[in-house]
Amino acid sequence: MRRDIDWVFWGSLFLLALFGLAAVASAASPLPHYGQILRRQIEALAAGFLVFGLAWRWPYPVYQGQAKLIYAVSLALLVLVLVVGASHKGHRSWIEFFHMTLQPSELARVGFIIVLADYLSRREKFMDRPAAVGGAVLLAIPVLFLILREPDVSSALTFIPIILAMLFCAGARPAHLLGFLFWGSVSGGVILSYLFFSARYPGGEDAPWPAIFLMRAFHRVLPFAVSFALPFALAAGWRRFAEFLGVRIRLARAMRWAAIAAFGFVCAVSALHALKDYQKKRVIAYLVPESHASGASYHSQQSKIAVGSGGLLGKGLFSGTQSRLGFLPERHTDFIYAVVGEEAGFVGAMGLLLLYLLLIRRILVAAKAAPDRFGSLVCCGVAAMMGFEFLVNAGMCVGLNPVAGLPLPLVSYGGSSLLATFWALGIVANVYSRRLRMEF
Amino acid sequence: MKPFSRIETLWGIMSVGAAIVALRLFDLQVMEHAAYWGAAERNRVQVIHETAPRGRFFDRNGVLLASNRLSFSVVYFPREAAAEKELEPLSRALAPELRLAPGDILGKLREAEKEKTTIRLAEDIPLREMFRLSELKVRYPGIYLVREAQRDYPDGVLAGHLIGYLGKMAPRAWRHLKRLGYRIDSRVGRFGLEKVFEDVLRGQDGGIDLEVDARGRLQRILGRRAGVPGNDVYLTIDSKIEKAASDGLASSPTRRGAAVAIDPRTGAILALVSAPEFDPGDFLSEEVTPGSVSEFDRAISGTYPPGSTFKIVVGAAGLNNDKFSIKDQVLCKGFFDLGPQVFLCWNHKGHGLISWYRAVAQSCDVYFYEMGLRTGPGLIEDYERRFGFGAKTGLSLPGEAAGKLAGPDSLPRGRRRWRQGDTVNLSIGQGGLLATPLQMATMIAAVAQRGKRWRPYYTDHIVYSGELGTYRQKPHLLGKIDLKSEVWADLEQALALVVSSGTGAAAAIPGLEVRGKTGTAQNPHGRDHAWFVGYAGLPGEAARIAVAVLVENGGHGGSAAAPIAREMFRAAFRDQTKSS
Repeated sequence: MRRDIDWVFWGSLFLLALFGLAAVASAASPLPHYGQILRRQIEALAAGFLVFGLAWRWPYPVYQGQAKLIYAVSLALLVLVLVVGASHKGHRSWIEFFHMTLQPSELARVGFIIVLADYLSRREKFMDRPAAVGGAVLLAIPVLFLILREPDVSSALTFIPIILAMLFCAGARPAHLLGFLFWGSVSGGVILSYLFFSARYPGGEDAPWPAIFLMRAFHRVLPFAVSFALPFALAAGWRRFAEFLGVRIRLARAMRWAAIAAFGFVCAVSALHALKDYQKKRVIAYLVPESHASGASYHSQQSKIAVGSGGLLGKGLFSGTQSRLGFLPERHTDFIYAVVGEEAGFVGAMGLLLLYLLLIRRILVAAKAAPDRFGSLVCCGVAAMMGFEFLVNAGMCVGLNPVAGLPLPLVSYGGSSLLATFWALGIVANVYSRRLRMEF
Repeated sequence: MKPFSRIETLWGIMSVGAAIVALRLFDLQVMEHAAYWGAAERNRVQVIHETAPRGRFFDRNGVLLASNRLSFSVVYFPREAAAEKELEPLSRALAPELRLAPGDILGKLREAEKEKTTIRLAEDIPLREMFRLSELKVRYPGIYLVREAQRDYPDGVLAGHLIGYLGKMAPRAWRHLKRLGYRIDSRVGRFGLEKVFEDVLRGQDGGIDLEVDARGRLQRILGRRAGVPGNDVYLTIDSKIEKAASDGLASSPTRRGAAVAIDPRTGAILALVSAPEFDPGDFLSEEVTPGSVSEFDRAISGTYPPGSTFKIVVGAAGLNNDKFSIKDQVLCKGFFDLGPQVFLCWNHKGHGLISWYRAVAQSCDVYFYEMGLRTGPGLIEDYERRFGFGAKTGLSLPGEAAGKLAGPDSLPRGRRRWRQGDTVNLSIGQGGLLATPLQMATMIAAVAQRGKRWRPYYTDHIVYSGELGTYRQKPHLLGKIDLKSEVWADLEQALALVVSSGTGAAAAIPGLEVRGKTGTAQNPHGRDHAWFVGYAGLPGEAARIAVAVLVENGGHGGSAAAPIAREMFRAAFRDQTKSS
């Protein structure tokens, strides 16, 4: 039993949860339903530890056998939320039953890690093929599609680093991952630069030529999409076409990259049409802060003020003016890290950061010690999930990246996130308890 | 490839990400902490300011010229931006209570919301209305009543031009001044000494610090800061003399003019009056706007031909250079024939055979035409400069005029040649020569001191609060007009005769040695300007007061200006002589 427990892992996990409870208790105290919020958070923590304990004892290979079922249940929950979900601030992300609210996308994320780990562990021999990357992406598409329907872009975005990290750890060829990354950066870059130019040159006058090109491209999607899709199609079909002709001309490697870029461009343009106005505003507020005096950039600014005013040692628990007087938005959920920064200062914020690093380090230790490939990949996925969510959330609170509605796992208020995280960490604990007995 | 190197790479990527966040935390919380701390404080603290008492003005004897009294103001402090809808009903509710138009109030409220700063809706509310208004405070959050110091001028118009007035800043000026701690509704010195001494007089406003939440709702009162009153300024003005001059000018024929009194021993200004006067207190209310009253300070900015008072300078020039002697006689037939032109004496009947003393006492023009020609225009112009004509006296008040010299070296634009007729005109202070009443006062003060010219000044001392102590202004000797002592004696005796038996008899006071010279200056704007310059002292002592009085278009200097001078002398010696 003793050897089953990674004390450092458990300790950092427990400290983080405690840290989070204190932060929520402080951040939510001026709110009208303070008692209810605190009670729910304590209940969720209790339930979370229960789930953690169960998952810790539950043999993880069972998940691998039931991967298809988990995938089906995840999709079913995501469909269910679109049908019966409660709408809050324009998102249909919560299912209410009894007195609890469940956020299926949180559970689906952990479920997807299991499903992808199962998929990749069974393709160990074929990881050097592009099909491995393609397969992982195809697996994610139904889940992402349903989450984007809610719509919850931030939540969907967390899947990308998870997929990338798991593919990487599973041994996919870096060139394929780079291609995937290249596609992502082209789509992201096009979206960002389009939004930037449209905010900077609202009327289109005096704009430099790339801006004009982008804006025209946006308004005439179809011709552009076709002209960019053509080389892509050509690249995809070239080998067959060449064989058919009986000639051996190898398409230049650059052509493939061009094709990826074209695909990225098409995706970006379609995404731009799908983005909601408030989402565009968030990104614009990050790119061109002066374009919005209030709104999204106001939140980012107030969060920076909260963190910066905390100083070295902070203003003290329950004494943060930015959070208590309401200047900080979403203080007990998305911006909880800013509350920590304000009330516990640089020391507290760094302490939280180091606890996270310690936790992630121990997850990766479990990944290395895992008895099989599936267990190892699950741990990598969980580490990527925790790491990415922490970095994006903390980065948002200190003004490094745009405002994204992501909770800080284990710390933010929110039952579903807590339960899902505890479940994931419980699986990691189980993997560790079954580690190969020879080393360490 | 080592088995776990990919996991280690993943760990490396995340560590780099964490390091970036850590660096950013260090930057925000340690390097830039002060700036963000300030931003957080500005977020949560709203201040309702209480205007500190402004420094007071006293005269040389400690009589209050400008002071402060306690008053109550209605203040609005801005709340959440969404309160825009509430502004209109609020302005309608306040309008009858404050007796203002709802539109005006709404404008002010909007401005406060825009600038996110507190604003005064009404000031100086009488105590009995206070109780009614304190109910408003309960009904409308954002409305506050504060106590503050309101400027008060106990004597109304007294020294109005010198003291100046306060006014609101122009919006453009405020943008520049707000860095110095001025608020949008602060009053600043706009004119006169209120403007000159703005930095000295201004106190540090106190206030109530309120903690507000993001929606502008009051959370608690953080504390009250006491204001620091401004520094008091003691002027060299003697309010008795100032009052005498003010009353004298107010009852003069045209009620327009200026009077300046100087202590010839130091240059300290005892009185500086420009009539018609204004009450600085009028500018505190909203009705009087700058420009609606006569802000033109005739005493320092008005320039006038000096007329016969200039004969002092002509006499000094001629006698000191032996161009003529006091024994030389001239036959005055009532006119002076210069060949192509004939110049008249003011006394058309003529003064007969006349020499220096009687010529000054009777202000005979023909005598001075002759002596002016003997002296020559170049020498006269030289003495103009020596007596301070054509140059600012150096009194540090904005708007002081330099006047105009006349002579062959100072020909007006467009004139080629100086003619003999010009010399004749110049001999009686006419024809292009222009001087301010202040310049005339410094001229006669120099005569009283036998040539010692002191720079005129108005600050006696400033009492700084705290450890700075007291600043005392020291007299500054500009120079000395070097004349032979017998020339000074001849001048003094002639000026004494003017008062005892000549044109300036109206300035005489039994028991005092009064000397002076009248002037009746022709000018293109209507009736002659009446002048009197003179000085007075106890018998056997140095003169204590030198005055220049001008009544615009007042007619004869002897009848219009000299009596005002007499009242000023009398005020100056009220304590010393019982003989008035």
